[in-house]
Amino acid sequence: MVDANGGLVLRLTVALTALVVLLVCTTVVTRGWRRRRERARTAAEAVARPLILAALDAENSAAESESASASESGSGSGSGNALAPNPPQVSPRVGRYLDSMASAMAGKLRGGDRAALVELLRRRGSVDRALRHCRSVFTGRRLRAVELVGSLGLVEAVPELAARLDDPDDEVRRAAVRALGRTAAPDAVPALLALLDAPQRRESEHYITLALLRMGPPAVEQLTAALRTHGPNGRRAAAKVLGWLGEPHAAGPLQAALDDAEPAVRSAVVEALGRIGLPAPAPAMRELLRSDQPSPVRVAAAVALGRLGDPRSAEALAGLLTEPHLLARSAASALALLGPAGLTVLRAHAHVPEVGEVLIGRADAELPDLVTTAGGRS
Amino acid sequence: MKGFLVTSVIAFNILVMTYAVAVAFAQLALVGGAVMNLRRELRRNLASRKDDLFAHPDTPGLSVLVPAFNESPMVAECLRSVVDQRYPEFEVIVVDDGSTDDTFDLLREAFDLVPTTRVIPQDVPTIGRILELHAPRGGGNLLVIRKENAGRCADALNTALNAARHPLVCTLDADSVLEPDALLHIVRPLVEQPEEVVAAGGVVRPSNGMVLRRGTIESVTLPRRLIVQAQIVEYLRAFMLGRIGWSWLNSVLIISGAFGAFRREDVVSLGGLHPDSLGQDADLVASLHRRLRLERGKDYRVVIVPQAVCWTEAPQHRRDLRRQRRRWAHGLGQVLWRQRTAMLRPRYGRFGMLVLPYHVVFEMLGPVVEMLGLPAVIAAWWLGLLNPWYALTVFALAIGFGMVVSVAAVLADEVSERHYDRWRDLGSLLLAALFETTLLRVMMAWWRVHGLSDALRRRRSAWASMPRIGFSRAH
Amino acid sequence: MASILVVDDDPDICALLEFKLTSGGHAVTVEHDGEAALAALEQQKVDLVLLDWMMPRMGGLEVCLAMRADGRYASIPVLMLTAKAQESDVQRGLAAGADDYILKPFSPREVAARIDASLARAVR
Repeated sequence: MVDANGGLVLRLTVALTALVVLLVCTTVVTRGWRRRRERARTAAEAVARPLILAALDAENSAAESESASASESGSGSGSGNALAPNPPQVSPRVGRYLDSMASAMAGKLRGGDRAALVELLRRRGSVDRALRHCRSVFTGRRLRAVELVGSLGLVEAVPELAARLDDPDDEVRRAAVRALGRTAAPDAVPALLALLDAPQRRESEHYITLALLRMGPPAVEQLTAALRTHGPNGRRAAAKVLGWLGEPHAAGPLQAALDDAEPAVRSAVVEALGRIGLPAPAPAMRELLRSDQPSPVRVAAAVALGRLGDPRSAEALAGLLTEPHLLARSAASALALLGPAGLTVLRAHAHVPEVGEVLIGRADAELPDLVTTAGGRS
Repeated sequence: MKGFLVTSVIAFNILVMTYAVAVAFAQLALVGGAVMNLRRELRRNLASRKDDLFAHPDTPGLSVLVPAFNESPMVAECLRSVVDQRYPEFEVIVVDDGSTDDTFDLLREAFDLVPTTRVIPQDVPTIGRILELHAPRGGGNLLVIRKENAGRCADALNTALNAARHPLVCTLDADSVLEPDALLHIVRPLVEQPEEVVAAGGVVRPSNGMVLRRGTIESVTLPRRLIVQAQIVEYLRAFMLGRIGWSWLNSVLIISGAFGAFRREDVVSLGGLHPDSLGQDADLVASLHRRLRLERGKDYRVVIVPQAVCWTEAPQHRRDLRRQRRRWAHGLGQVLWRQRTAMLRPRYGRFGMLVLPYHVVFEMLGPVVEMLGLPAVIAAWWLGLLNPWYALTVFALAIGFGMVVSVAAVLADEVSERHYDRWRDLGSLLLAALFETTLLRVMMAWWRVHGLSDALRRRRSAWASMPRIGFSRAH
Repeated sequence: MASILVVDDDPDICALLEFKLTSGGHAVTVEHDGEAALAALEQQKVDLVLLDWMMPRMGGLEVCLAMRADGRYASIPVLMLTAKAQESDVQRGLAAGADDYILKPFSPREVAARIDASLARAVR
């Protein structure tokens, strides 16, 4: 009996000790390995960085013409251009770092210098390889490929990237969304918006709207069309992006969408109209201040009318000053932006704490005795 | 009489044995969960996510709520690290809860504060009256509220919550230093999955041994004192393994109030933080769990973000450590007592069936069993019942497993984010892991039993401050 | 030939701008945080500052405000280079005394052109 138990305790102790030793060793080895990798990386980057900078300098003139025809030149790597120098010869290891550094840098740039970096990678054959790897069975490789073509903003990669929108891996999907945003290819807009209303929603709306915003003006036409055609999430996202783009041509379709059935869409539409800043939709926007609208819509309308700065909104906004805190505060801040007309209304309501707070910022002469706590009315 | 004694000692020893095995398995499960979670996290391209969150015009605004009570040695330096964070739109609301030292004067000097005004709605009830409001002269994202002390940290937080004007709120201790981009990291889950994630917690690490320059971490070296080193290991274990493991199960119970992010409307709809709770942070998360389990079933998540790192000073002396642990155990007891009606009720899902029982059995009663284990062994020996091999087995299980888990925590930190760069520090940390699982653990268990008895006797205790050392500053 | 101070916490961007501006005939100093930038201003004559907004140890906005408040540096042109793209940010940046505001991702050639234009205005 004792022997059996003794054996058990011995085995247990040995096993646990071995486990501790193993973990300690793993920790030490991990640190050593990481340090080595960092050193190797620093060394490789020191070699690669001047090469990249040199490429930028050498191609300053050549790249400009190429960037315009970037989408057509998918005919093969390193083809044609006799003027351009050969790609720098480097070891495969340095080459890997060179590719990732150049694409990371391209992601931070616009214009001719980005085109020069694209050209450098194209001639190294890295672009073609990445396009192939977009369909690799290895998730990591797929991810890196999508990220590379994304930061380069390659138009010819759009079909490949669109196909990756239903990749099984969520990180790859997100990278594809991001990459499409950088290509400024409007064809992808409906597909991106449709993700928002897909039955089993998996993509983060936040990154999709950012991608659409990054596409910029080319996306406007598709976004405007989406205001009528897409599901509620898609319509809301389209309205938001149009507002951030500040596109005046979108004001008409947006105004038509002010009576959308979904409150969240109405909020987004009125906010967008406020950002665009054209005066024409103001009367229709004031309708959204009415008390039969949900509170978030009224807040959004108040903020938007403040942005427009139309003094004729003062009357309608004044009605909100007696409402709960958030509405009153939005209305007071909006009124402060309406010039003399707004100021008159604010002075007439100086007893409202939220108005007092807005007025104090303007160093006005007669300040009410200001309460810091608006108890009881929230 | 003797027969009864013998039976009960044997019964108790069987209980202790079962308990030790159960602890071992629970720890293993958590390590497994943590490994899965870290694997998933490490694959993510966090740099691009961070940049996107920062550049996005629609990233929701964030109000950072900082309760402060007698925090003078470090408050200005800490707030510098918060005010200068990279985040599109945020405000920092400091509530000076009637400090009796020069906390406010230091703040006024550091940030050039002048009196200001702001309408503060009474969205959640508060106790201490607001005395005055201050903001930096040139404008800026800082608001300092001075209020009457109500003897409770939760009241300061509730006041700050009322004043908060952004949809997201983040609680932060006044003695904490944030790593760069910590705010972007902690809100990331709340923004990426707005419909699912209801709360996100950061990772807290002891800041002892840190050198700061203008709110930016200059260097971190491992502090010399063994008691602090051991706490570092303990924090690593609690966060890198424990909470991240729970996060994988979507069942985090404790988001440290030292660094946690929530949606303002959620906290307001719960009536703010519970004013009488010592563990108001755990209480908040528990109440959230409870309500959402009923409202949404499984369709929500509470997560821990390993990259959102917040450094906070750990007690240097045994006395302070004792007081802190006693208070924590007391707080945990209160929280679990408040949630007793959800315990083992299937309609509360994992929260009622797994999270609460785990915390009662292992976190709350664990120290009691450990403390009773020793007298039980003595009693067994005295009664001539002691099987030495049995005692050794229990001992090996308890200590050995503790060591495995502690060392695994150091490894997890090494794999995800390494902070103590010198080889010597790594060695000391591994040694401290051994100390932490033996001596310190016994002391802690003893203090926690005290805390539990405080909770049972419903003792009220005010939020006392710990004597602070402050950081080394590089100039 | 002008002396330009580039302040950005991204080493890639610094290396690129240093290279571009040096080959454009300027003398370039690189700093990685706001505090160091102010120290560099003390030490040498600077004709133009290219500032990132979000940096550790004092952001670009603070540096800009500090420069405008200090008589010695008040007239040095400041160009903000930042990913903070909201219109309210642009307003704040310009209100703090920046002469120009360039959004990331940026075109180095455009930056060089804007620098030359700013320098030409400053000389006049």
